[in-house]
This record gives sequence, C-alpha cells and structure tokens, in this order.
Amino acid sequence: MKSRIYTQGLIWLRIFNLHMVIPWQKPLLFILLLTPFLLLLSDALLGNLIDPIEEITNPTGQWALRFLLLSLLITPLNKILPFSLIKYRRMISVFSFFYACLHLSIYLIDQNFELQLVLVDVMKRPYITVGFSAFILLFLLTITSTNKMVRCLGGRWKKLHRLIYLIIILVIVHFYWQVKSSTDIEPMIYGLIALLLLGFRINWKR
Amino acid sequence: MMKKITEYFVTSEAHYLNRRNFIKQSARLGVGLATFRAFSSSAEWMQGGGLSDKMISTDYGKELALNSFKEITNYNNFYEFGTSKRNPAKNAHTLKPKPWHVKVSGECLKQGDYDLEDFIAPYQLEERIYRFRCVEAWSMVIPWVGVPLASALKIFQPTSKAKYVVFKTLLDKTQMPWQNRPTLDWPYIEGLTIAEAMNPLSLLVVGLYGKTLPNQNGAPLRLVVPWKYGFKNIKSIVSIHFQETAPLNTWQGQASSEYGFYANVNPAVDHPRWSQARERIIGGGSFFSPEKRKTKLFNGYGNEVAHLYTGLDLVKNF
Ligand code: HEM
Repeated sequence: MKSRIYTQGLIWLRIFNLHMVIPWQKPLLFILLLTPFLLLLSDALLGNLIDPIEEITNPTGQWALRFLLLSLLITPLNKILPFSLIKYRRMISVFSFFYACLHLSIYLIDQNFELQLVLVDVMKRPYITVGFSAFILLFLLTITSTNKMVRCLGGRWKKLHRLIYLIIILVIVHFYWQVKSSTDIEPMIYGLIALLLLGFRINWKR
Repeated sequence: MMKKITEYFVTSEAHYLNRRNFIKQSARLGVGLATFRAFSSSAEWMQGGGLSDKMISTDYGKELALNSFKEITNYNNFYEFGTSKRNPAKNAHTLKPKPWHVKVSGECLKQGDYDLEDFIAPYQLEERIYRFRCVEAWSMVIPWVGVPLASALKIFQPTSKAKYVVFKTLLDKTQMPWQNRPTLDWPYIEGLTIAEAMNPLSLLVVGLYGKTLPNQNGAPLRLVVPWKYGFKNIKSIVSIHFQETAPLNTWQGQASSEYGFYANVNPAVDHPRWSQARERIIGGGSFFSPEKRKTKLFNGYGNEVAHLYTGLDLVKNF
C-alpha cells in the first residue's frame, strides 16, 4: 500500500519536474517573434492587402528594426533584473534578420527582380545604399551566430558583433531618409530609443 | 457673412460671356438651378449620399479599368489623419463635412464666405474617370464626381491681377488630429496658375463612385488635376484665394528639392529618392509580379495640357 502511494507520488513529482525542466520559454518566444509574420501572411492570403508591396515592405522593415532594438535591450535589462535574459538574445536578432530578408524580398519583387534596376538604386539612392549596407552587415552577423562560429572566432567574435551598433545607426538613417516628410516624428522616436540603448553602453564615468 | 451665389449668378455669367455663349449658357443655368433645388432639399448631401441622379456621365476615361471603391477609399495619403495609407480610412471619422463653408478672397470681385451647398449648387455635376498618379510611383483609376473648376472660379470674377489660385485645407486639430504633429506646416496649401486652374481638365470634386466624398478622400470638397502628382489634389478645401504672386505650396516648402511648384507627372524627372519612370498599378498583377506601367508625361493628358507649358523647361520647373 505504502509503496503504491510512494511510487504515485514519485510519478507526480517527475511530471512536475518535467514541467520545470522542459524549456517552454524559447518555443513561446519563437511563436511571439513569428506572430507579426503570421499576421501578415494571413492578411496576404485573405486578400486584405490593397498594395502588398508597400503593406509588407513597411511592417517587415519596422519589425526588423524593433527586434534589433529589443536585442540591444537585453544587456541593460540584465543589469537590472535578478535573472539573465542573455539566452534569448540570439533568437531575437536572428528574427530581426528574418524580417529584413522578407523586407528585401518584397523590394526585389517590386523591382520585378531586374538586378539592373536594383544596382542603380543601390548606387544612386542614399537610403537604399544605407539599407543595403545594414543588410549585408546583419547577414554577416547572422551567419557568425552559430555555436560553432562563436567558438571558432573566440575573442574576435565579440569585436565583430560590435558592428551591431553601426547597423542600428544605418537602419535609423535608412528609416529617416525614406520617410516623405523630414519632420515626421516616427523615425525620430526610434532614433531616440536607439540613442538611449547605445548611450547605455558608453562608460560615462571614465 | 453668407452670400447666396444665385443672387448674382446671372449677371456675373452675362458679364464675361459673349452673346452667343450666353444663350447656350442660359440653358445650362436652368439645369444648374434645378440641381440647386435638388441639392438643398435633399438630405443626401452627407457622406456616402447618392449623387447618381444629379450627375451626368462624360466621355472622360470611359476606356479605363476602374479601381474598386475599397481600394480608392482605404488606401490613400491624407496626412491630417496619419502618415500611413490605411490611417485616413481609420481616422477620418472625426471630420465634420457638413455644414461646410468656403471662403473666397483676394484678386476677385465676388469675395465672400459661401455655404458649400450654395457654392456647388449652380453647376451640373459630372462624372469623370481620371488616372491618378501618386508621387510615390503608384497609380489608380478613379471615377470622380465634380464640376469644372473653371466654371466655379469664373463666377467670382477674378481680376487681371489674379495670376494664381491658392487653395487651403481646413485647420482644426480636433477634426484633424494629426495636425497636432509637426509632420507638415499646417494648414495644407496648394496653388495653380490661373491658366492651369481654367484648364477644362481641372475639377472641383464633391464625390466619387456616384456618392459624396468619403471623409478620408477629402470631403466635402477637393481639387483634382489629373496631369499632376496626387499631392496637388488638395482635400477638404475651406479657402480659395486669388493672388498675383506664386504661393509656396506645402510640400514645396517642406522639401523644395523634391517637390516643385508644378509637380507635373514626368517620367524623365526622378524624385531625388526614387525613380518616376514607372508606376505600380494598384490592384494589378499578382503577388510575385505586381503590374507596372511606364509613366507618361503629364500622366497621359498631354493633348489637353501640354500647351500650358510651351517654352518652359520641365526639368528645372518640376
Ligand atoms: C537591401 C536592403 C534594404 C532595402 C533595399 C530596403 C528598402 C526599403 C524600402 C523600399 C522601404 C520603403 C520606402 C518607401 O515606402 O518609400 C524601406 C523602408 C524601411 N526599411 Fe528598408 N531596406 C533595406 C534594408 C533594411 C533593413 C536591414 C532594415 C532594418 C533592420 C530596414 C528597415 C526599414 C524600415 C524601418 C523602413 C520604414 C518602414 C515604414 O516607413 O513604416 N530596411 N526599406
């Protein structure tokens, strides 16, 4: 009798433990980060978009930027919070790259994949030049984000990934240069958040 | 002070018309007055009210494939209600298009403050299908309802000093909440040369798709000049001013290197930040292959308007 209760108890304990042990946070984060894409996809499939080009270009650009800023927020949060969020940072920035890829794909569709036109744009239109540079750098950081690459690069990894600060500046400039009105406050708000996040990294006491 | 336009309508028309035209015009006047009654007596002069029994169809753009009502009314720029193209449809419910007054001032004999119903009543409403080319390189085809701008302006008897006509949008931060933001120098201002304003293509618009203008499309009164980029088509007009010197239009003031006074559609003059050679046809093509078309000089209305610009360097005067 006693042993039955004992084993039952053990089983419950195991289940409870499992609940604690199986990492559910990362899948949840994955779904959260994917949600804007799923919503856009359903809008596209349901025919809710009137001008798919613009109505996908803009939100994907914005989500790429937001997730970039979110990934920059992790370090400051770590200093404040009693637990570490660092293990989520990579997924956030990889998603930023994912949205940047969608953003770029729609642009390529809009150019009807005529590489000639794309090249002219990249050379001639400063906001595209800047966005393009940001994309290349972001690509570079993404492919060097695997565990293997981190190990291979060692100390150089950290140096390389400081490029993120340059990327965020390029993206803000890209955003500001593409808005129609120079007094539009939207890119300025993003710019201010970026400045705060970058400012946090400067050692002011020195 | 409110003036009824009908009080001096006959004399002013007679004033500038020669005898031959006068007879033709008087016949139209009859139509106009009939419309006036139909207008003021009906409660339909509201958003979404039907205009189809008050308008005549015309040959303008009969061959063009229309964009849907949904596309036209849910995807447009109207920065007084937000900078995204979905914003106007969402936010413009705060605009009260009735009652509405239009102030006429400057170099003309018949200045005054007109009730919109009286302002528009004397004229036969026309449906005209025009191409619409946004400066952002997309385009639509829209069935507008309106009156020729020239006939409306002649009533006010512009003087010989009236070289330009300047329109102003409503300035009201409660009705137009995004005027709280510094996005543009409010109120929105747009001007035409008098010759452009008197061109038969220029239309004062009160409706689209046979109904009065939805708020988000510039209710209750807007301009449509189809050979120019969309931003020239000023919306929710409260003021018409005749003057001798060229105005500084809103976008021109915002970025003079990007937006000129004329803003004629011209594939050869790029916007500094993007090409104007082609346009994306809203609603055309498929997801992976959106329909594009080569943009035409004067948006394809060269026959009607090219003479306005003879001898003008269109690259310098963009
Ligand atoms: C090859 C690279 C890129 C190209 C060709 C490109 C192109 C564009 C285009 C065409 C627009 C819209 C302009 C308009 O509506 O007039 C845009 C807007 C934008 N892009 Fe990019 N972009 C690139 C890279 C990026 C990257 C890497 C990011 C962010 C990480 C980004 C973020 C944005 C944002 C936030 C906007 C503004 C969206 C809005 O106005 O709501 N872009 N970009």
